[in-house]
Amino acid sequence: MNIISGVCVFLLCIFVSKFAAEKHVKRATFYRDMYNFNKLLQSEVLFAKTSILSIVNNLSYKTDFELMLKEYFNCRIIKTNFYYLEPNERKFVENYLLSLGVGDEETQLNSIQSIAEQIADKQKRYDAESKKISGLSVKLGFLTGVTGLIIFL
Amino acid sequence: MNLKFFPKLIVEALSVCNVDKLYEIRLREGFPVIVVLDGQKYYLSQNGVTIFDSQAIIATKIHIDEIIGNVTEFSIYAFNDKIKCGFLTTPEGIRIGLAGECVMNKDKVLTIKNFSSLNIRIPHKISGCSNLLMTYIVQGKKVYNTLIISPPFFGKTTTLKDVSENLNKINLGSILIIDERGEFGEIKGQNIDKISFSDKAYAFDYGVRSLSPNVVITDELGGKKDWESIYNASLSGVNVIASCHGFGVDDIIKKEYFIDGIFDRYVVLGDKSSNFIVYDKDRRLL
Repeated sequence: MNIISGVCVFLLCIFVSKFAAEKHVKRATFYRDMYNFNKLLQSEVLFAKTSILSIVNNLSYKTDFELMLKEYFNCRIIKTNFYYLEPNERKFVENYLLSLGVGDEETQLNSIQSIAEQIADKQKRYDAESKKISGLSVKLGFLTGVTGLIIFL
Repeated sequence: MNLKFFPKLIVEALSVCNVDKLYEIRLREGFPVIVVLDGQKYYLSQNGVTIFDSQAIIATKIHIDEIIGNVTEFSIYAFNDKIKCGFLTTPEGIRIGLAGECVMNKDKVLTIKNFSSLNIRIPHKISGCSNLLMTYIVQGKKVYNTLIISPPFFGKTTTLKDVSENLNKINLGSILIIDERGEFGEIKGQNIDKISFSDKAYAFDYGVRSLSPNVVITDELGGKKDWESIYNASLSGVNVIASCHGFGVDDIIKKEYFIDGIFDRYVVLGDKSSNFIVYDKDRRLL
């Protein structure tokens, strides 16, 4: 019985640590996608003037960011209620969406370039944070799990 | 015909109408939506068309913005060159004339914003409408430089489209369509090359050099540059078939940029495309 309880506590700790890390990983992925999309958009506006809808329709729709773009440009619904984004970040993403496609070429390029730095900053920060915290969290979860297992045994 | 760029309310109302006979839709903010069906003007109501403005759907700013958004795929930057010229074109060649506030920088139009009315022209393909006209434009292997003249809405573009298809069929060489406004949407053929959304001067210059056409077809000659391009093309051994707004030949020769000697045929269209008058290069009735 003690062995079963100990294993359960161990697995629970691993699960909680993974869940805690996931938030950071997902947020980092979200901003990485946003950064890549913004870069793609910049080159498309500058050279081919491809419409955003065409760019969005060529995405694979595998990540939250891509799905959010699809929803916005096909149904005009802004869905930023991702659990890993803070309220101010949701606002930032909403403003980004609302700034897309509303001006002439020069205005659109200025808007993309001015926000590019902010996105790059966030992407770097959350990428580093994700690597640090997810590694730490998994280690911590493992150690707590092992401790729990030892206590039960 | 894909009319999905309209707001749902208007799409539903149009679904009751015979779209094959629909020629024009006008939206003016705060006023009833007007449609031209089979040459007659009606109001658009939720149940189709009506002659009573009290039953009509009232166009709102939201309707107008939705149409612009759908046609530009929510990417104004990709369509601003057309917006500046006062129109948008859908992939099917539906032309949307725009009225709104022009944003100027010195003497240049930067864009048009706050759109207040739209004039949506639904193109129609009338196969064979130029069959009779072809006997005046083509004789043996010779294609005459031809200018098709009429007021707006008399079928210049429809005629030019049919002329393109007829020339394609009779295999007289390469045909280059310079489609400045994207209105030749569906016209394709084994002898047809098409340059779309470019100003005529550029398209004539590079098209004649790089695509070696035998005949160039273009719509709506306007300013000096258009006439000069046509003139230069005609001097390069290329035949030109073009159209121009006017009531008749007299209007055309009074135009500031008119260049005499380019065209061998002047065709004045009547209110039906089968109804036309042809003049020779000296403007004598044929």
